[in-house]
Amino acid sequence: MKFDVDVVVYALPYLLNGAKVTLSMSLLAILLGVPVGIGLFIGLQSSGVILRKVIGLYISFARGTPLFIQILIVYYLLPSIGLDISSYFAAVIALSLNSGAYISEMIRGGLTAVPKGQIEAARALAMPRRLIWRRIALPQIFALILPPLTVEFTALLKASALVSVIGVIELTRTAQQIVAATYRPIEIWLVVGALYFVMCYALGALTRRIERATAVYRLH
Amino acid sequence: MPSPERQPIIKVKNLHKRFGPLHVLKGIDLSVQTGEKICIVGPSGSGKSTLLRCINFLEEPDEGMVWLDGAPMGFIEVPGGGRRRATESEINRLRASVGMVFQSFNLWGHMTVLRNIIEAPINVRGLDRRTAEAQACRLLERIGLIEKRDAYPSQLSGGQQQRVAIARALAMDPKIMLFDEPTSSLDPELVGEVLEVMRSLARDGMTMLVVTHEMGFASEVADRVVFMDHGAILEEAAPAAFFRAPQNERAAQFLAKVIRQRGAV
Amino acid sequence: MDIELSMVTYAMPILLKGMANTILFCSVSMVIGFVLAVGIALARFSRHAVLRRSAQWFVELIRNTPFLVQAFLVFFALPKLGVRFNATTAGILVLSLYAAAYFTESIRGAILSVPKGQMEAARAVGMPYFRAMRRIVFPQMLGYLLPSLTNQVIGVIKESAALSVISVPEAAMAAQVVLGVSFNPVDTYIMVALLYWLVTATIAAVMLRVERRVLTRRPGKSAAPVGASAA
Repeated sequence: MKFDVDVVVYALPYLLNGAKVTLSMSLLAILLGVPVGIGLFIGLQSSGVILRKVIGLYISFARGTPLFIQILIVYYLLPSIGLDISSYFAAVIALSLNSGAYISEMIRGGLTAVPKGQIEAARALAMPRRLIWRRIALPQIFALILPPLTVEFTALLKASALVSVIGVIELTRTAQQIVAATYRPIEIWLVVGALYFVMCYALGALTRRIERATAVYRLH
Repeated sequence: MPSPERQPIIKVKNLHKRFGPLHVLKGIDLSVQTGEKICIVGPSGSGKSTLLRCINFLEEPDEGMVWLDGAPMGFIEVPGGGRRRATESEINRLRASVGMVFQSFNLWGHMTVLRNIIEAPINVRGLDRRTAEAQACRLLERIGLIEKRDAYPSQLSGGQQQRVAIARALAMDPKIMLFDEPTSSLDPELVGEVLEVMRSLARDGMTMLVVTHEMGFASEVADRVVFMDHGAILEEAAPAAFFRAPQNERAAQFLAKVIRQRGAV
Repeated sequence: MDIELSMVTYAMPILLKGMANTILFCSVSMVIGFVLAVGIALARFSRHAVLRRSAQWFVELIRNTPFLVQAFLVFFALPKLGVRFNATTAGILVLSLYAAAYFTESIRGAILSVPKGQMEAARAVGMPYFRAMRRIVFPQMLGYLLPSLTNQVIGVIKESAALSVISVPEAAMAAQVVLGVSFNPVDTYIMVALLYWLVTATIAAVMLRVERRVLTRRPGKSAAPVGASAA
């Protein structure tokens, strides 16, 4: 049983293209997930009991059911309500809807982590509310949310493998096609595993770097 | 020495504040002249902090009024009697001349010491950056922390953070300085450096309202000591008179307890 | 998109059977995974660098690659080396390894959350190592372990749905069987999702109860993060 390097050389360009799709799709999903998360969070603060309950149920559903099923639901649901879009965008929508649920929790965590006393001091210094929000609250919330956001991005990278089942030509799907053509699953899947590993491990290192850099902003 | 002016720089009349069922301020009347140093003392929960916070409208009183240099704080009198709540900008206009120092310092963690001090002067008073920085450096030199100008609050000790907080409040060129238990969160060996800054501020003639447990400081610096308990002012006297012979019984009990805990005044 | 009642009555038994399989399947995997996780956690604390590093690398490998790819490796690549599994066995293998990697982080965190002084104090009164672990360290670990582990358990159950891709007979696969007869994907998948939701929500609720009972009986000192933030 020899390790066939040639098939790896042959497959690599295709796999790297697939990896590009994986990255772009995950990036798009998290960029869309942030406004979704913000919207959900704001909704949770509203005075309407029904709205709060509905959002609560939505978040519970997104976090309590398999992402795999969520992707399939979105994929089949969109055409039936008249939205005929590509599987790529169906995947992005499913992923961002899921991310949004987790991100809204991060926002809540970030918001409560900003010490109230700092806001009070700003008020005592006659700073108007908008200025306090822009210069005191928002920058700190951003610094607090960045690490969990990169963790979420890493999770999206891994979850993106699931969208291969709805036909999106990302890394996993590309690998499946190549394996079907070359009958060399060991080499291909090992390389694919390595590619995902490199991406996720690098992101993990980035997360740790961000945490170290923002540590100085935290008091106590 | 306080300058004898006819109009007090702070006037508090019949101030009431409730938090739910708790009646925290029960009709406070107080008058402070320009340049006076007032120390407010009393047991926890007596409403001292709440009084301070009503003066710069961080808390909205339920009844009564505060006037700062003749201008009503937080409310606008409407013709025909009654009053309406002031807008945010009207409130902030008055707040700009009142500096406040908090028990937990409340420096902004994501900004350096310098940025902490220049932020409000630039964005509220409209100073340009160079002027603000020059002023900040002068203040930092005065409190002895100029070498920390680029440090972050998390890198400073409690005493250093509080001194920076005082500088930050002074950067707005206030007419009045409010201190809400400024040394209560500090390790004992750091209290002195903060009190020293406050003393120097007093010597320069600043009007100061200080809520504190530091009786030594009060007896040394205050023109008047105000004793509060359960939301009311029970005694107001010069420090010599107050500490040696308090008239009010609860004040006497309070002093006895404090002196027993901390040693002679 | 109205849900036809006849379709529901037809599909439900199949889906329920699938979910039962999922629960059985996941339970077996998680038991195996937990045993492995304990071993790995101990290896992480071992004095031998080889043991420590291998354990670390195993965990990093599993946690930095998609579960689906791990499944493909076991199911498609391993046979080429002569090791042949049927779908179910492969599924349990992959899921167990996955569970082990994630559970071990919870266990490690739980061990680290107990202050070192506790063990030292126990030894100081002459308690032997294992009894000290059993009576002093383990009970305090629970405060960290229970909520953390609950989250991971729910994660494993959710991840197991991906195994339908390699034809493991579980809930997501059952949905495909239903689809083969009545092509109504949205309703079918929503029903399956609701079943998963029921399972995960129940687990979360039950564990919340258990945590309250177990944790409030202790002389409350440790910073136990009560309440699994799952589902």
